[in-house]
Amino acid sequence: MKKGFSFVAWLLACILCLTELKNIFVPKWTDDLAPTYTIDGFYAEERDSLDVIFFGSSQALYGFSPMEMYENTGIKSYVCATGSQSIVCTYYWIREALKYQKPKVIVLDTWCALDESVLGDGAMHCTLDYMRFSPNKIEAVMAIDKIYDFETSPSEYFLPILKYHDRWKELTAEDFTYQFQDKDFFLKGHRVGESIYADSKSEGIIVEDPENVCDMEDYQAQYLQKIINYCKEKDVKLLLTKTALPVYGEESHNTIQKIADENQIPFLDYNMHEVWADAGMNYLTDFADILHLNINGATKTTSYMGEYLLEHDFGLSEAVKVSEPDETWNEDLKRYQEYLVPKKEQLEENIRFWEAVHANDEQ
Amino acid sequence: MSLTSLNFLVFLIVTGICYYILPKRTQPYCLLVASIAFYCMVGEPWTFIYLFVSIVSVYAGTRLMEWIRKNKPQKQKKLCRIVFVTVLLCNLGILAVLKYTNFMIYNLAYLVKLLHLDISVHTVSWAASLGISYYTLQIVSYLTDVYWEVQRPQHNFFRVALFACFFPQMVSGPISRYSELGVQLEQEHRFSLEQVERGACRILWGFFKKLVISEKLAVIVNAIYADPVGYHGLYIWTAMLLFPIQIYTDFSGCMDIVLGAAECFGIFLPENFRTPFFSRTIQEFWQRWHITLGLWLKDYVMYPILKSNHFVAMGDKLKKKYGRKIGKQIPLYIAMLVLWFCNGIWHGNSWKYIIGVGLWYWFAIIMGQIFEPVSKRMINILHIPTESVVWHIFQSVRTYIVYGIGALFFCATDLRNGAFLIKCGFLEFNPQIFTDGSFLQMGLDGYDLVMLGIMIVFAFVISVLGRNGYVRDKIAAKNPLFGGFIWIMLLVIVLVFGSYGNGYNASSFIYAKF
Amino acid sequence: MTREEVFKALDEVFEEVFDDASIHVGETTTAKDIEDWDSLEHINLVVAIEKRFSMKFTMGEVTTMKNVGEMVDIILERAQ
Repeated sequence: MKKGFSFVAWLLACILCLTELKNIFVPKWTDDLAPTYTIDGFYAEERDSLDVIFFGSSQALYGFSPMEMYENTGIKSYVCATGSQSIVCTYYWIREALKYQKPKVIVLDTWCALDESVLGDGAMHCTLDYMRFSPNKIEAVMAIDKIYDFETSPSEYFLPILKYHDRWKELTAEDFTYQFQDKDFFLKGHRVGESIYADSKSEGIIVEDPENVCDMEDYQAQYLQKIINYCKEKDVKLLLTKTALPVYGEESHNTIQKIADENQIPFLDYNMHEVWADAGMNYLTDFADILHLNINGATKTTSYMGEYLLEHDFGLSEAVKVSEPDETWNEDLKRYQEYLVPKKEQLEENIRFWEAVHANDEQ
Repeated sequence: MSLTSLNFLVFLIVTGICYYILPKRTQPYCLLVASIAFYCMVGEPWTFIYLFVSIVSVYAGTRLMEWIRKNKPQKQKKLCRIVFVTVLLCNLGILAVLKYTNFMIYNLAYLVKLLHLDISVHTVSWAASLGISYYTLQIVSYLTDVYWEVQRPQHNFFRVALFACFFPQMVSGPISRYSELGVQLEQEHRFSLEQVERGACRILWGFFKKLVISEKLAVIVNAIYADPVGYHGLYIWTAMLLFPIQIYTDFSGCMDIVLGAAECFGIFLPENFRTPFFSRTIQEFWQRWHITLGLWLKDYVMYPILKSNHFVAMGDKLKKKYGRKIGKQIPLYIAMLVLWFCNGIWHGNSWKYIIGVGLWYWFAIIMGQIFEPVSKRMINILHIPTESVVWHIFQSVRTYIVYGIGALFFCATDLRNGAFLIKCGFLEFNPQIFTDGSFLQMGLDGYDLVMLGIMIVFAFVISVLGRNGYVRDKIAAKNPLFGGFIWIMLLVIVLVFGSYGNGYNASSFIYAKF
Repeated sequence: MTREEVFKALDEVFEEVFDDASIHVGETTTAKDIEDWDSLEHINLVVAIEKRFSMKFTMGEVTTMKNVGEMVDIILERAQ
């Protein structure tokens, strides 16, 4: 009996040890897209406090600023997205998010449903390593393992030390101390772009042939449908969207529009000429690069989204009227505004530089 | 699945649970099923037929011999010999054909070339069954023990089958005798948490030796031997001196896992290593290295040869003609030649094994014996204190180098390549390679090398501590908190510093930027 | 032959094989008691004993005899 007891105690000590190894060895992705901050910040949000959650990939991260939305409309939101996120992961992240939050609306940027660029297993780890261990995570990892053909084995997701043990040579103080830091993330997932890409000359598109669609991978169609069904099941309104892109084809729009129509869900595509114009998109000032919006673009996109959500039947207007001023959100807003100042200046400078370089092009 | 994989650990746990939950009398059948499953997961399932034929032939042979002894006592000697030889040749024949056909063909081709004959010779590619070199020796030992009436034949076919294919020892031995292993497999084993913990600790230690030390050393050794022209001079000798540590930690680490796994089932397999690098002579070395193979060759090859009438007669003749010493030594040297030839060729079907793991050591031992009077005189003249630690260290180093030279051929691709490696070792005297960072370009960086050095020293210290009793028993005898802490630390060391997995490449995480 | 005679004869064989006139073997003498009695000398010893007593040990006995006493038992059984 005593032997059994001490064995169980030893087993618990092992589990503690493995957990601590995970905390130390999993890389802290805090630059660029910073999935570490995004995901830990999401878990740090007060339970059932969010009205809207944005999902998708980096385009959602750059395109929507929850702080702007809060300032404009009082809607509390979060961008729970990671770079190059597979739609399979997005589905499981929606399930994960709904364990901790009861948003009225889920906004899904649909790039992940059509994008076929080859993902390395690095992107998978950025997406899943910070997801808390649960049956949901087990399902997610097994689904990824079945659909994709990476060298990684599922065990590396459940025992991250197996993947990251070689990092012992590059461990820094942050690797040890991060677990004790305050995880509150004032950007609420948003990434701020201060670069400029102004070559596209785009003004949005007009659909000429609604039947012109593109191919979707089977699993992409399957998981998009799963997302739609799950949101219905959980009684959460789903809004499909596509942030403005410098280069866009009608096939991408039509493919998603068809699915949206079949399932009677709205699809807000910023690339449609009317929306583009309404939102005030400007190819000269709003894009950071060929896929992502910069500060200007994000401000316009978020502002338009906020109005759209309040004007249409998403159940938000009442919630916003009723909600009281939130101290933590107001403080985060202050930090956000301070954070933005040098970034805005940098963007202005980049725009001026670009204009100077291209001044001669016009002639 | 390799022994150092998560899959193997899961397999062990699942088998262990079944083993202890099901009624005790089903334990051998549980192990037999597990062993067959193991075979199919690790080897080619269809090659199981060869193992099956071996088991059936030996079982039939032993039962037949028993029947003959009971029912035909007058003719038993002759009849039993016929049965024994037939079954023996059948088993050795399967081994020879599957493993050594290409060796014969290569030699034939060489002869054909030498004699300028116009015959084309083709090699074959026949898959051999898993662990054929090991299980053949093991099951032949059972057959022979029954023939010599040292072992009573087992009537239950499945128990004989289990003895032949008990899964922990399937791939790398040790080679057991029926009186050791078979008897244990017949008994019923109660679950003992202490026993399983002991076994698990040993498995962990095996993982440590293999993943933390051996795999890392292999990076350096393989890099050097793959490019002996680029890595010439002192590189070659460095690899030669590092390889014994690599293969020791690899093979004995493997044995730790095997013996630890068997212990979890309450089965105690024989040790295959006993701190071999502390040996004073190369002869002693081979009594402490791959012990079960040495014992098998001694009992089933050397002794029968030396005791045979021919050899005894030869010894007598030589004694009459050349004196007692020659009369004793020549038969012995010839028997040893056969033994070492067998040791060499057992390791593989190539002359490099016959020389590198065989005849080289025969030569070294013979030289040692021949020069024994000379060296004894030298020791007396120089007043060397033969019981001192310094002398022991000198002898151990000498033995290590002798082993290292043979092991160099073991690593080479063939005999010619082995000679080439040695030639490259003499191309230049380049001590600067130790200070100019060359060893940092082979796949291990500075951190890896330092950690490797520390771990080798650590393993060495543990060997010294374990000279007279298992270290894990010494730990277990202390405070349980201390013991638990030690094993968790070892687990952390294996997880963090072990060489496994696809590795972490920071550049693959650039997708974090998009 | 009596048991004592066998032991006396064995003393002579041991003395010759190990080149040591002071060896005396008893019922429980084993390889551990005589310095040079290793696995190689063991077979030489067996062969020498076989010659001396004109008998043969079986291969099984060679590897399983535990001490000199057991050797003597077998010798008495088979010696002519």
